[in-house]
Amino acid sequence: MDNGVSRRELLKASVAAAAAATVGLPLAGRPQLLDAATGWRWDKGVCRFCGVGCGLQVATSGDRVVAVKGDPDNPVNRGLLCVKGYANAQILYGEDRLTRPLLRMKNGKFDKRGDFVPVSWERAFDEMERQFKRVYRELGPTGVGIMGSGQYTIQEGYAAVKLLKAGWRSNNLDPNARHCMASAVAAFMQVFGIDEPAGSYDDIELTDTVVTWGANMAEMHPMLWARVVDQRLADPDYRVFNLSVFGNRCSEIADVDVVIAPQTDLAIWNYIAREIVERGAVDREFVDAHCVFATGPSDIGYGMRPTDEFAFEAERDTQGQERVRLLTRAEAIAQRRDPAIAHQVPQASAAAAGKHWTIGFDEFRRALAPYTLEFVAELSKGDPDEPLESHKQKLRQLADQYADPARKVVSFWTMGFNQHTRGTWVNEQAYMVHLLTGKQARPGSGAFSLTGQPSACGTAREVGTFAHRLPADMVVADPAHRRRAEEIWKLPPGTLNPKPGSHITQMMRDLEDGSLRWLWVQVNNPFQATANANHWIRAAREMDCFIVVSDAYPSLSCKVADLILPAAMIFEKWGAYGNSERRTQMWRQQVPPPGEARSDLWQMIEFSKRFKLSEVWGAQPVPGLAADGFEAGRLPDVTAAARRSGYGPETTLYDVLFATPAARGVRWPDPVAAGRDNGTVSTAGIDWFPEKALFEEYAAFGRGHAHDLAPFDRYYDDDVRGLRWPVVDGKETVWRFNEEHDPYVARGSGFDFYGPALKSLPRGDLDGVTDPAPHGLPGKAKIFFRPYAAPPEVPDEEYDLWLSTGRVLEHWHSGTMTRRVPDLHRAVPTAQLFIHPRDAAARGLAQNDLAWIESRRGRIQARVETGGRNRVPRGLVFVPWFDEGVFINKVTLDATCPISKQTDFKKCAVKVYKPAAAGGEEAT
Amino acid sequence: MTATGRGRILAAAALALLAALATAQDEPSVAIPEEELGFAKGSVFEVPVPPPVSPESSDPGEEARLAPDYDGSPPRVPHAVADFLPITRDDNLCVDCHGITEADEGDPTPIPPSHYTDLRRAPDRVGESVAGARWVCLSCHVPLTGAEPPVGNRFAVAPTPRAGVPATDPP
Repeated sequence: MDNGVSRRELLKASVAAAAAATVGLPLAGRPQLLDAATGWRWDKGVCRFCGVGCGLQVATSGDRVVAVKGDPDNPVNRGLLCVKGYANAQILYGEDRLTRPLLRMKNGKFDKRGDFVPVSWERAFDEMERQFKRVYRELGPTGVGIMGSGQYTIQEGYAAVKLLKAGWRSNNLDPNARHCMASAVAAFMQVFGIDEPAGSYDDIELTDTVVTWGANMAEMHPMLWARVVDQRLADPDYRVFNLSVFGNRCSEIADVDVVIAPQTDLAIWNYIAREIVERGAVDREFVDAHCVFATGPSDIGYGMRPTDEFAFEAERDTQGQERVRLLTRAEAIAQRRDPAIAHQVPQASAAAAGKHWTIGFDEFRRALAPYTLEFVAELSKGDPDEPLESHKQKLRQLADQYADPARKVVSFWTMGFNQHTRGTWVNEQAYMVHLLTGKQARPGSGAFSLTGQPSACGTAREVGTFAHRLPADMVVADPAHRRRAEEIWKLPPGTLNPKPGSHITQMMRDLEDGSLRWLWVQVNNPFQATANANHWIRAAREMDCFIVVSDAYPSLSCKVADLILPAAMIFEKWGAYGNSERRTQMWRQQVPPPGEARSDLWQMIEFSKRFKLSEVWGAQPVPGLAADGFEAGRLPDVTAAARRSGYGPETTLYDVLFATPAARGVRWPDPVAAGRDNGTVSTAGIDWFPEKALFEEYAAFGRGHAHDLAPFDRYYDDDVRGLRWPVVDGKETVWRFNEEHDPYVARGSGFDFYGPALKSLPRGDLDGVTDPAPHGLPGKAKIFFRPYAAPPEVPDEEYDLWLSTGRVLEHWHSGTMTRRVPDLHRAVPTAQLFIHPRDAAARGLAQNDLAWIESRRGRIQARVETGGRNRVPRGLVFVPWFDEGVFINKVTLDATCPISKQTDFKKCAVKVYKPAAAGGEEAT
Repeated sequence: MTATGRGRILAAAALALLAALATAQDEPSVAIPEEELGFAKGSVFEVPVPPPVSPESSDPGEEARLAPDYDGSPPRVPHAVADFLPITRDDNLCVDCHGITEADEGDPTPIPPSHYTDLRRAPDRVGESVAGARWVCLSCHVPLTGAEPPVGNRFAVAPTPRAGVPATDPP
């Protein structure tokens, strides 16, 4: 633009003179404002969507939410919101909100082949109860399950844990967050012995270099990306590197954009580590004092079913990788084997994939030897049209950033790492490089796992809504952890089930093979969200199972449900979320839910009234249960012990789990409400405050255990915009493990990686354990060596393209909320097939054409996009998953990281072709 | 069945569904087949044909401004943007055109003073250039295609006086 400069100069002169009064009013101390002119009532809130956790101001008029704004006093987003954030009000008002329970019926009775008929809550719960008890009597606790969410409020997640684990004695509770950050969790536990990042968003302004690895922050964490861009524009020495399998919006701001081949992030990290070691850039003082070296087995499989009994014919070759793997040449080199011969490797360690042991530094160094620039550059170059020398140059620059002791570095990652058949490994490799250089747990330096969902951290992880977890990082398999939970929950010893349940993908497989037959889906759309969906939608409809879906809108999962329950949405209930930087934020209910929609918390509490202790706390079969103090395959009868605590056989789970004497003592109304309602309280007809009672009870798990949350009321104070835990003596913790910032660090240590889990290990070498005696590692972090491993399914002659899936800025997850906001729908009305123009042309496809996308598992149609916001290299296509009309998870592969059980949605092989002319091939 | 015939039946069923979802009577008035739920009508086992995308193709100034959804929400972009992208560290054609303080008839919509305020570092001052945190305009201001929303939305707010309303985005 030729007059751009003069316009900018004009601005300098005139804008500075504009009245400051028209700028955002400072609101500190006044988050609750009644505006006299409009009658609107403002309150603080938090965004419903991603893991950034932007602070909102929410306006209500009567019983309607009328506006939202970014909260200028919230340090997360300082007054800004993305286009989705501004839709927090509209998402409540889609015309097809579910307002009544809907049950499949024929002739007035439940019928799995019936149509949906509106029924009362009483009738809905009657059928839910009848079906639950039928399955529970036949199969015991493992026959029932809940698919939960990283979008649960903290209280909802905690209630689900309690109802399922303490009440029903099942561990089949797993969230959609399994698909989102389970690999991050597994790595945190293995490396640090405690979950969640050391650093905080403050690092963005304090660092010198930001590296995004498989994280399209510009679209998925837009307001954090705004902070990165802000800092980059303000500081000429700041550097931004972006690593992705295709060019995206981060590429447009990045100083160095590295397009990599799928899965080769594993090799790139090892190249960087090798450079650090060979250049003498290891921070010896830090490593010697605070770290050990470790490794584990590489023959761990790909998290697929161990049998091909249920596989479609075309799936069998991919499925076979689960048992025996023929290594690629690059894998052989990367794993120090002779590349000249074929290696058929039985995946013998699949069942113990997380096993690991310590090794010496010399072994670590030896393992890195194959990862030369030449080897890694050739393997990892993702754009066939980029010269090798250019890619090499970028890798060298990247290594320079990490190796330079004078530069602070933050590495951010999201689904590119976590959704990965070696997701736990690649997370661990990030810590490997940051620990080697001492760039961890320091202001401005750290490996920082970003999370996808608004409370994946606060609820799914910290509350522990996973099949193997209890609150505050505890696990069901650990007797001491069960004992502590049983104490806090006032349960008889032996109530809790020591055998981990099924993770979310396994629950789908359990539906298919008939071992799970009653399922409750909450705050989540798993039948659209789970890979290889043709199997699961068929299982849901054709197996003898009963599926309940609680949702605000008729999602795809509702279409396969047997009972649909209408749910309240974010500002129609009280709640709390915890974001990626450990910040817990709470909100008040602002408006009532529509019609008969009810909070998920109400639904669980109310349903719990239908279970007497005699029905659930007697002896129960648990196939495969083997634990100290338990009869094989059986949970003990604890009703006699319960009687000694004053609970009779007729006592209900409602009394034992929810309406406890302590909970009833937390009274409603409460001054913290400042005049707001509580729909959970009013519809339940109670005079206590369940959201506060549950939060305080939950907080007891973490207080004194480095997970300290502040008192409930504190989060509602006018001067608080969330607090980052651990909150000790009223003070939040911005950097953990660092003596200057974290009260849990042993005085005088400087750094203390005090996480308690997995801190007693055998010793060994690169090939296995040599000294099985466990050695304690108090205060240490582990620097893992993990090798490059290829994915189980790669493009071949028939399925000749990589498929990667993901999200877009304008839509949240499966689109059930954002697609009902008219302008968000207009902005991105359908999920397109992003394909390189030459790949499209080679298939006779042009912009906007219909194309089939087909894998071994299924096929769907989408519209071709050869330009737009993503620039995919030749050989790879990208399809977002928000659109139920472009049901891409029918195509994706349900292989997972064998350690974390998180699905790799980013890699499978597909073919793309033009539909036959009219009269030819039909949609099936 | 012809496409039109099926379309008519679907439309009728969709109306019935809306009625069923919206009523709060005790007795069921209608049974809703699963095919009528959600955006993608039909069975989950079918493969729908997604509609072609019709991006905005007008030049700046050809189309009228689009009203924001409510006071303070970011206005949509009423013109094609492909020729003005990408926004990079050095180039931002959105700012080049819209970075004016006063607009006559037919001029681009001026970027408001709020956007010149660095809310993180200097929240009380209107700065000289667009705040870095607002540099990527497309994070908030999106262009629209011609697609019709599959379901309506009842969010609507009467225009309100602005005085005293905490606003981060005055027009």
